[in-house]
Amino acid sequence: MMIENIVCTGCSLLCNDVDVEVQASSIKRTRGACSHGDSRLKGFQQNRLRRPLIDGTPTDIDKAIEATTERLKSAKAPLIYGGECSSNRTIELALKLAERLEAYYDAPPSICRVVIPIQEELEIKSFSLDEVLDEADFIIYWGVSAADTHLRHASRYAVMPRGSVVKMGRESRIVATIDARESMTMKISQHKILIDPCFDTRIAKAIADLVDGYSPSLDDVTARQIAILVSDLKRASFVALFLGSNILRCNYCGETVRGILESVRRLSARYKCSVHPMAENVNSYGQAKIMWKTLKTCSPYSFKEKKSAEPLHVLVARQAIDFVLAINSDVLTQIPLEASRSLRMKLACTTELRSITQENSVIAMPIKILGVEAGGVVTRTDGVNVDLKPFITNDEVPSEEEVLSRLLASI
Amino acid sequence: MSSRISPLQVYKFLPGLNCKKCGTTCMGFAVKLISRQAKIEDCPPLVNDPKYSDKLTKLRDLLAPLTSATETLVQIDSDKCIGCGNCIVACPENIILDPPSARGCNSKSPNALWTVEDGKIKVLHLEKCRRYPPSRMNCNVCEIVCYSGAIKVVA
Repeated sequence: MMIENIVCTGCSLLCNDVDVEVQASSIKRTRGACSHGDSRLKGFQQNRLRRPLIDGTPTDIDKAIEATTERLKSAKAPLIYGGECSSNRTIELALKLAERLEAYYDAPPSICRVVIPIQEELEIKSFSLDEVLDEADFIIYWGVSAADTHLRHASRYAVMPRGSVVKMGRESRIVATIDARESMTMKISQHKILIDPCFDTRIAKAIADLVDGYSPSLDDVTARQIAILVSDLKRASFVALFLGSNILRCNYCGETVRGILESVRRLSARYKCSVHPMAENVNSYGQAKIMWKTLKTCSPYSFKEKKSAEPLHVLVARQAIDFVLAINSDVLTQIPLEASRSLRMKLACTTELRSITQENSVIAMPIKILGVEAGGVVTRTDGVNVDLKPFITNDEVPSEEEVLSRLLASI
Repeated sequence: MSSRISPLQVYKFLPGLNCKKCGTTCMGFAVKLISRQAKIEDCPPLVNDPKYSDKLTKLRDLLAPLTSATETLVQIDSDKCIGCGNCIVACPENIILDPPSARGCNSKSPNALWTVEDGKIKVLHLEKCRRYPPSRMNCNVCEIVCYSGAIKVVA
């Protein structure tokens, strides 16, 4: 059976023009999905956990939830981790659970968690990707290779399509890629600027200076490249800036993003500017947005102390955490191997697919696949909420929202 | 730097006699070889005279990519394709055949030139490409926008 126009959950672009052919609860063919989306949609049946496990022994979901409740209740300093691959409702439940347990809460690092607070503080607007499609005539990819992470970004929204204002599509837009390394995205860019790592703020300031008529202090080669970029920028009317996770590798990435956004604020006096973090996972944007809205911080948070906590690897290294509930998130891949050893067998997880965290968990609870078997609202990388509709029925496992609701009710 | 085979490259490996046994001059024959309207065997001096054997070998090597190319002289390596859909949206012919693809959507019309299926590009109607004979328009937008180098115009 062919099902048309499903929302692909392969990345945070949430493309809604994908068709799938479903046979016996699995997807046999996809049309319109990129290779990432195709792997996600077709591969979920191969690598999934079928039954809940306690200490490696198959059990039922009631016992698994009961065991998790007991472990969470008896823990002195639990950590609730994740949300980047879950629905907005699940993230809200996870935060409530952490509050009730007076636990720590954290999620994998994301550019959204750095950009959203600074963007709000500096009052920089963000338009939707549909507005970018229609109007943006100057696209900047900064610290991101959309060709590696968000494969349909250029073709679906930013570069190739013909908009109501940008009628010639690719021929009416100027694309600039600024990064510390060469990337495939540079192939479709008129301006390819390779910068030294952590040099981002100076480059952003140089662009804003040149637009305002000042001379930047940069080396000759980079200054010439920036001058050519600015000569094109001066003819633009709508600038869309896409910030990627390569910036997270800078020392003081928060200061780097602030430097870039302060320059954008200067540019926004002359142009219509829109800033978008390129969310790494399907709902990284939603996770950061809800965390910011609820806690007014996107840093790791301690509900016990009611303030931001130390980074996760520091907490784990000094053994400040005695039990972790991972919300469909591979927490063990986010911390150094040595530190992660102390967490083994102190883990419970909800999981769509098998993972390192699941293999090292004392309790593992399989859940429905978001956007395939389970519905829910997730937030696209431009902040637009998208409603996912399930199109395959699976009564063998519960949805993540159901597991979190039951855990919350029992604690 | 373009990797396309040019008539001048081919001409270098022809005898340069302009004997017209192939029906045209050597430069005309070079153009015909690239557009696959003639075969190497249509040039008797090149094939029969041993003194051109070196040139013959080099010419066969040069024209080897043409054998695996389609009628449009475009090679598509589906192993390299990442299914980004840049070619579908940028292709001027495809957006005429399937207007929603001009707005970034995947081609759904059965009349479209190509579509993305199973995460890879799939050609539906090659004959609708601008490069298809006899028009043979010198268009290479798909090659320009292809991130991964999966699409190559060979000549």
